[in-house]
Amino acid sequence: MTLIVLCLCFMVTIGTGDILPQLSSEITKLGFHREIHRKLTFPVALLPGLVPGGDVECHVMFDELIPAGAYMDPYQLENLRMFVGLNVEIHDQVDLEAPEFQSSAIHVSVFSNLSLIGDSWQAGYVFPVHIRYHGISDSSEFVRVKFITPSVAIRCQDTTYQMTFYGYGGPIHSQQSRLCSRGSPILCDWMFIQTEKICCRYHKNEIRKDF
Amino acid sequence: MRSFMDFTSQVVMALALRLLLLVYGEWQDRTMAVKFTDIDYHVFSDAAKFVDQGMSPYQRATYRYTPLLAWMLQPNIYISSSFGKIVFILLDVFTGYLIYTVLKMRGVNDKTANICAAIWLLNPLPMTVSSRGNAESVMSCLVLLCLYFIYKGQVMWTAIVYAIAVHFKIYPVIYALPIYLWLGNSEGHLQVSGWKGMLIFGLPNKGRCKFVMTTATVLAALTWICYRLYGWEFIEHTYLYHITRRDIKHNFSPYFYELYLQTAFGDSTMIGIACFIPQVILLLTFSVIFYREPALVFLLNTFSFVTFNKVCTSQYFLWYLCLLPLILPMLTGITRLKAVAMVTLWFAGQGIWLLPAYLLEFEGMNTFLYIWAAGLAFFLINCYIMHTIMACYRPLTPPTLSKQSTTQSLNWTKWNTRDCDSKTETVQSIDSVKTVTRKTASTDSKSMKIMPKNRQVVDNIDSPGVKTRSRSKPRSVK
Repeated sequence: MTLIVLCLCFMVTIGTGDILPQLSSEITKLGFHREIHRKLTFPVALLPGLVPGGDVECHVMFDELIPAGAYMDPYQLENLRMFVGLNVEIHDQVDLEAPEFQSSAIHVSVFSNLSLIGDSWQAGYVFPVHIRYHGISDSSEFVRVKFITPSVAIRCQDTTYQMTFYGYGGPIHSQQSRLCSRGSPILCDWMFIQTEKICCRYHKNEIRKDF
Repeated sequence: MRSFMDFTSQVVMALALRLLLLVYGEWQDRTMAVKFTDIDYHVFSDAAKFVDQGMSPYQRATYRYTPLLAWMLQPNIYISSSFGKIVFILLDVFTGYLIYTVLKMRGVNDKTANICAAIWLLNPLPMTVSSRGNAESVMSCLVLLCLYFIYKGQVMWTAIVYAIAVHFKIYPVIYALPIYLWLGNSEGHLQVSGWKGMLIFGLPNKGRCKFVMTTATVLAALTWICYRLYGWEFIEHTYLYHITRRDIKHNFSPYFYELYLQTAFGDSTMIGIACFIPQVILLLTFSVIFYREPALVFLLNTFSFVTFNKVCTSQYFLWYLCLLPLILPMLTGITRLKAVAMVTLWFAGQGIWLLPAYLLEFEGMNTFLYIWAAGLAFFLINCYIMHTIMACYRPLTPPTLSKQSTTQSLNWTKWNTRDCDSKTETVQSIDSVKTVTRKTASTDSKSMKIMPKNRQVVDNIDSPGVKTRSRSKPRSVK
């Protein structure tokens, strides 16, 4: 018998002298059907060339790795894309019915736009995940399903000259060529950035967490 | 007795309510995050799109149906996405028509037939199921149509419809034996007692050969066409998946917990095979004993198949619920109180399962044992209901036989009637007194006079060589 307790793994890192965008995460709901909330907040200082209505457009991509103990329903995501505009690209085949011990992790990319709220740029999303049946256990009544923090990438484009805009002012991990958007055959240059992870909020029934 | 609406009004109301639900469903789908439409309908529609693009419908994950369904829903792409729902609704209403027609064929009066049809037509459960785009109405229609042709004595059409039903979903294979036995020789009903008599009775005759050959031909043709188009994945998804599936997720079946625990030990093939044994025993038993009452044996076979299955979900209940109205007029041994109690028990059994299942799935509470216990309780409730149906079933006058079919000697095996509340054997109310003459196997003719309601049956016909049993005293085999 197993019961699943979800927790989010976080490492709090703060670079000395660097301003970092803040990434907050939250899991809501209970049982086998959960929702993961992510919110990324950029101080305007990190994107000096970005102004509302200006020539520069910026997009954010979150690289999530859904563990083997969970899955996302592609058909549900398609419905959410049409209904709430959630853009998710699933890179692996998803077996909706397999238990955890017959499954592997799923790599997904979530694309989001930036919105100016107050004095910061924000991007975020809510996506549903479903927990798989896990193997039975003699020793433990609960099993831990870990959702690791996603990698965050940003790309900015000068719409006037149709060129990549490299005005991001924060620390960058790496640069990769990846799909420009969900379902797009075109590749774009994405900059994977460092973020400051803000500790999660837990539902009252979830008492276990890792740091 | 207050007058009940006539059948035509019922059909119109049933159609109107279902279409209203369909319209509401479209509105809910467009405006709310929680959708009215069944997830399966999207599966069918997506599969239809793949077919339209010249691809296999099995490209759609979880599409485990015949390609015929994807072909049927092609107008979803060109006409309207609701076309399939309208088809399912029409078939659902047609099922109600078949219920009414079969009952009338069997001599049930108009009022009773109306009420029984209304149990299906005005029932919110099938109403909602078909309006949401679930394809179960296709199966209920095919099975009822098969019964219709059985009672009409049209063997060829019985076989054709039966083959299509088996092609659509494999479970109608449980009706093969009772249909085969029903097509038996009128003079061969257990002329010789014991196993020898049963073996002789089981020998093929013209009707049986026609049925078997036609069914095999139609089924083989459909299978061959689909196999040529889609290859092994058609066989795998349409047939093999349903036979070999091991659903370890919680469902009504009491087997689910055992199968889940077996995952720790790897292969559970032997367990899966062993689960079939009680089903097979019951199917054979009911088929041999009740084959003379096709509606009853269809119901009992389906009921036992679903109850004893490795996987049991709400969707399967429709498989036997569509047959229940056909035998209700014959359940004269049940009082209203008992009938209400059984219906309440059936719903209560589901309720006590749904609560821990909800707590597990949506609250994350460890309720596996409670779910399993509730599944066992629901299983016992279903067994009790089956027992009550068998105990309180009173056959009608000999079924109306078409000119093509042969007369059959009648011997209604009576079960232990102590479980029924009614002390008097009653027959259904009919419009007038009828006298039926039948020839037994020994060519002696006896007559059975059927009296109006609440009068005792004057006499029963026994064919020689068959054991009968009544409450008064047992009678030996001649």
